[in-house]
Amino acid sequence: MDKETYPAEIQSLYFAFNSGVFVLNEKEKFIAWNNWLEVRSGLSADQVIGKSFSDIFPNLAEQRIHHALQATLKFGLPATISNILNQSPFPLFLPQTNGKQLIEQQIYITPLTLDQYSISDKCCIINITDVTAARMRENALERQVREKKKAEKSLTRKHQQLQTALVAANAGTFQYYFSTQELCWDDRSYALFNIDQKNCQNLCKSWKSLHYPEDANKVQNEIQKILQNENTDLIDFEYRIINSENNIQWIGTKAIICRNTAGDRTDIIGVQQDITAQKKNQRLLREKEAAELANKTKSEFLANISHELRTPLHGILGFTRLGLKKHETADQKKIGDYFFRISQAGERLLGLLDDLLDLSKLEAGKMTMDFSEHDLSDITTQCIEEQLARANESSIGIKLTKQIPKTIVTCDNVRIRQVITNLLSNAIKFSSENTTITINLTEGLLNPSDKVHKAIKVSVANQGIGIPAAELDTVFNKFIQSSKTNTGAGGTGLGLTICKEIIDSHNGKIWAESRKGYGAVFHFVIPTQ
Amino acid sequence: MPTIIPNLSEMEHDLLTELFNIGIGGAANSLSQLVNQEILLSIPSLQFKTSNQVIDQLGKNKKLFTIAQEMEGPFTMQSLLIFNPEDGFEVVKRMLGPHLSDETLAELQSEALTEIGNIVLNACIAVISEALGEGFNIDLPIFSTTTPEDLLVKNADSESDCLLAVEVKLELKESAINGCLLFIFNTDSTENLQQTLASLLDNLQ
Repeated sequence: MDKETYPAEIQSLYFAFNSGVFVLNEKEKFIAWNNWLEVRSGLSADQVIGKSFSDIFPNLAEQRIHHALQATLKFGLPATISNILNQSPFPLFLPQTNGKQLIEQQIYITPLTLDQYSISDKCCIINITDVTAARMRENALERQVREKKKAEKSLTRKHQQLQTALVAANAGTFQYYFSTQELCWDDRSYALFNIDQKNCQNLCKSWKSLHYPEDANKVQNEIQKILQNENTDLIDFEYRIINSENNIQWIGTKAIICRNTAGDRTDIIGVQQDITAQKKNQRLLREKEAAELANKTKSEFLANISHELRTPLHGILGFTRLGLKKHETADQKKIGDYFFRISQAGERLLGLLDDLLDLSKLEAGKMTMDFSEHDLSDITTQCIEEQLARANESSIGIKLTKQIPKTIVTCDNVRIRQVITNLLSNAIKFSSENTTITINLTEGLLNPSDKVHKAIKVSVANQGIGIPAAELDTVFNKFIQSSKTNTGAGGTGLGLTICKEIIDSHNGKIWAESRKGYGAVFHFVIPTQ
Repeated sequence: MPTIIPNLSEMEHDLLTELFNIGIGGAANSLSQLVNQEILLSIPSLQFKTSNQVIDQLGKNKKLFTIAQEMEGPFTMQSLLIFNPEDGFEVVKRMLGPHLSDETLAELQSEALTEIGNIVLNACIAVISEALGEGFNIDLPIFSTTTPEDLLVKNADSESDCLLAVEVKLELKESAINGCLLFIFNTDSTENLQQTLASLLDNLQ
């Protein structure tokens, strides 16, 4: 069959097709080749028509497309060949890509009878559709799916990591929405507080009901502070709850406040964690540190006290030996002097042991106080008289000023006397020569906000070397002495500790003030009743 | 409902079985080339069944993937390749490779299955058509998702309901995937088929 015999009206019909159409006769020769194919193959109808399939497409001989064509021509079997299972067979390229981009092809082969055109040959028509766009869409979909899956995988991994971290930290998460005032917890939070998630009607209420009574207000205040203070961005507080086993459990809450682009607060996202173990560890650590400090100060005290004990003992032993050696030859005055020194050292030793005994009694709470009404002014005057001789030795004057008419207090006479004597003795010890110690009795306050309970303040001021600011608080600690003690003033470092214990047992307060070059002032306040 | 056995002689029955056997052998060959892996197709078993029997066998209301090609000539035959969706998807997955996501495979599966059906069905039809020496008009394959009821009620002749069911097990080497080939004739077609087979046998003898 020649190309001239092929009906022109069908040729022109194929011309209008928006797909590739060619027709093969029984001998596999081209009898039609449409314009769409010309544009995409670079082969004109004139170049193709009359040629055999294998001439034009030698590479496709005996390939699936060729077998399908043969089956159609022989048995009238139609075929569909998609580019999903086959590579696009025909060398057709997208226009304007200079033969670079191959067209993805979907091919349909159907038998064709052209009896009406007096063509008796069995023919087949091959229709090639460009599915490049569809394939690109599918590729894009595939990419999207892969990226989505990758992102999901990464998110899942992060979520798992977070969950693992939360489990390891015995923590749960929560979220609070400002707009709806809704509080949401994750499963771990419910587990942490042992609240039944399914039957929980009001989460806020259930949560608050677990608060340890002493901490309930604190938590409420924290919440109010967060809700009322627009500038808060970080939340960090700790509180206690009573857990299901009726034990105290510490909860640590840390959260951040999220804001929208306008800067308005939208929600709070945070973590709540069981910090009972940490708290216990902290307490143990504190106790350990305190025990170590106590141990250290006791060691220091022992070193100090042994020195203090040895000094008078050396005095006693030294002068006793001297007396033994010289009692036959030395004159009476000398011997008398030895006895005096032995007695003095003995007194000092006794005083030291008395202090130790007092302190141990006070520490053990075994010191019984004998409270009765006494005039603080009288007690002070007696103490001054007792110390006057010692003061005079260093040409130190003692002045008592009384700015209130009534100075009656309920106290243990002996113990308060001990306090004043100690303070006065210290003041003499640390005073420079030819200076005056001032004792002032004024109205005092037990604490600045308490205007109801009347109290009397006793202030003992000297004009000595003073106390370094850093030691003002520690001078009252047990076994601690001011560094200025090293100047030779001596003492066990127990006097002020005993004073503090006594004043504490009178529900009073004792403290020290010092200004460089102006000496030190020791104040104590005790209630009148 | 009792099975209506059309009046096929033993010889006619054997001839038809052999024709399908040859056809399916060709189908296996074509498919193996296409997917470049070994595909096993079992020996076809021929049974005449009622629509209800086939519906029961395929599973009532069960979702099916079908690829259908109709053949018109001395008799009319609807040829079908049937997969359950899971197996159909698995066939596509194994043929297109594991590198594609399930989403993309779902997009491509109708096109891929249409071509697979076309190859398998063409192979069978070609043998029958050639052996019988008759001219047939054969349609392009059509893929659809359907149920056994929709599939068979549409094709069944309610008066004397009878189907020629040719079952073939299609198996990919690495995993058993069951497919089913079904050829449906209406009553007139069965008679015509029988006549055609009889005349073929006469010619052979």
